[in-house]
Amino acid sequence: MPSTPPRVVTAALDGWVTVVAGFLVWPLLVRTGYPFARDLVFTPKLPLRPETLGLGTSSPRAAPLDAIVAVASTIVDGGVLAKVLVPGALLLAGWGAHRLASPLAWPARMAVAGFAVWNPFVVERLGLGQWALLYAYAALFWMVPLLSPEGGRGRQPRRGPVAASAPWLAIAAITPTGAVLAGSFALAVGLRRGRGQIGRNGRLILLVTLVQLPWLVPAALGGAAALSDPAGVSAFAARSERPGPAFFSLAGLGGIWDRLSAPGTRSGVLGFATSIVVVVAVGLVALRPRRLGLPARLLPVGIASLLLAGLTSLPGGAAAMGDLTSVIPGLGLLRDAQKWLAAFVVLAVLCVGLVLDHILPLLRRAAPAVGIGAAAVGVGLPWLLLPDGMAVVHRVVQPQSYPPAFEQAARVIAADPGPVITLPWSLYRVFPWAGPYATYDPASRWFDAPVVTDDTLRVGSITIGGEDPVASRVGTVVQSPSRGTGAQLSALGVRYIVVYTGVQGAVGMADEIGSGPGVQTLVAADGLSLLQLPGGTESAGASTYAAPVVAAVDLAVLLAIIVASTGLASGRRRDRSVTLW
Amino acid sequence: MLKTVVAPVVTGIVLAALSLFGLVQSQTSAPAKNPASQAIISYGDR
Repeated sequence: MPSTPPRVVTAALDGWVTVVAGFLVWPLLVRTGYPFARDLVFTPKLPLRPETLGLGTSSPRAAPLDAIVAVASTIVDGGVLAKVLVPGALLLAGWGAHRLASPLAWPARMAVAGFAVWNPFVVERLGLGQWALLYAYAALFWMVPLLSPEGGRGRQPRRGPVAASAPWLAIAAITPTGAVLAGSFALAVGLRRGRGQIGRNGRLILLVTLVQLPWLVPAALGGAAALSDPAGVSAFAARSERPGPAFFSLAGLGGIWDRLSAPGTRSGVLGFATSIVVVVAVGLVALRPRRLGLPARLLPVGIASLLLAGLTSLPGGAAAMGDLTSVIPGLGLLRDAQKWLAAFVVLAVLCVGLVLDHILPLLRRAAPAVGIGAAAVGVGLPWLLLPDGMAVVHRVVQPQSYPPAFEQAARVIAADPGPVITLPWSLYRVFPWAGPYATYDPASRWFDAPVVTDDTLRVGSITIGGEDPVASRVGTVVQSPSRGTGAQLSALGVRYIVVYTGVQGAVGMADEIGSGPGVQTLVAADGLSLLQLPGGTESAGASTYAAPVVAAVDLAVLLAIIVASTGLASGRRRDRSVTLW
Repeated sequence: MLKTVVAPVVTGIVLAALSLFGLVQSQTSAPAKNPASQAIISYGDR
């Protein structure tokens, strides 16, 4: 029987990944509206403002992601954008994974592709609404064959492996965590020994540094406090999902800090089974990594990522890291420990494929039917181990419809912009018109004005102090809303108050503040009241030159990545044998 | 006989049992805490 051409196999596997990813985010694809749950908040059009460049009075946790979404949403509606961006991360992960496993037989590649998309790490991150981090996770699969000392087994890129990794580093760097995660991974996998490698290593270090600038520059120029509350370290440490240490949950590719983001089966026998499957697969491959074809550095890098993810779950680990967080600026951006597991997930996914590829021919030779059954189990492994992954993701990606009052309020504020605060004073609320999940305040993604919100986080019984000095001052004023609250807020420079009247804790709040002297109610419908205060022109936060500087840096980094990845800088494009990076 | 009949049947039974077990468990196990009952200001819970 003639063998299937490699291109057909690759195309079929790409299709398989599309199907798997499609199932995982199905409601997002087939329903109209905007995903609105947990941290996943899309609006029709995200205003392009200094705050979206990361220059607000809070830490730039979504730089340059917000700027990218803001620019894109000037062309495409945010609801459509979400349908592209969220599944896009899954597709890139799956497509990259089966290409990384291209020397394997197709059943093993199929298992790798499915497992890369449908695993506890991906599901739990999506369960929290943190889709952007998955771009960094996806980029790792593509960077391994480019940067590993083995150089991958496929065709090498004409423009050189470091140059070819530039777009993947850039894709990963849409969030600060992604930039650090992918940057450290690239260095760990890609740096070479020897004097002849100085130039190559230098270019890689330069590239990794370059992609950090879109979040480092606004962090330096913005108005947020540089140090974070050390309480966040223990609150966001990896969590044990079932009896046993957190490391065992992390070894099963789960362990996210938030219990509500973890599928129910993670706490049961299937959670144990996942950990055992991964540990056995990684263990077997670790015995003979070269013979089985594992990229040499992926094993230590993956294990290191597992240790890093579990560090703050060890006795004394959170306290030590908390001490560092309170003295090292910016370390708070990295406090969500389970994010660092991404490299281990890449290792685990590939090891499962390698083990399958090794044992399936043996089983087939022993008994064809058993071989076929084992192949089916291997391909279906993600669903056998995590059958309720879809349920957790669906409830978060399910699009919702904003009440028309948001549009009205946005128009009023755009006509006469000024600082906005939102009440009840909290960053996360359960909105009656959306799902039953605490969801990020959508005001900053709707209104073309500086929006100040509470940035104190509550995780169970732990309260993590915010980093926004303006929010701290406003928070003191709005503790007990009254007739005089409007005047006090006006003195702080606030022009508008948005009261989400339908949420718990808001009863009577809009009427009480609205009855104050000089306070006008401009919108009152659909669970939202917009109050205007007299005055309110002060714009706290970054200085006026900061926004052009950050925009210029973002554009310069983008240009540099394009130049690096296309080889335009060399001026020797005709000589394709020259390795530029 | 063993390879053509017994092995496929056993494999099928094992596969079906595993799938059913996983599905039933995922559909019947309630979360430890009702998500709707969480405090409105809570970002998440450990």
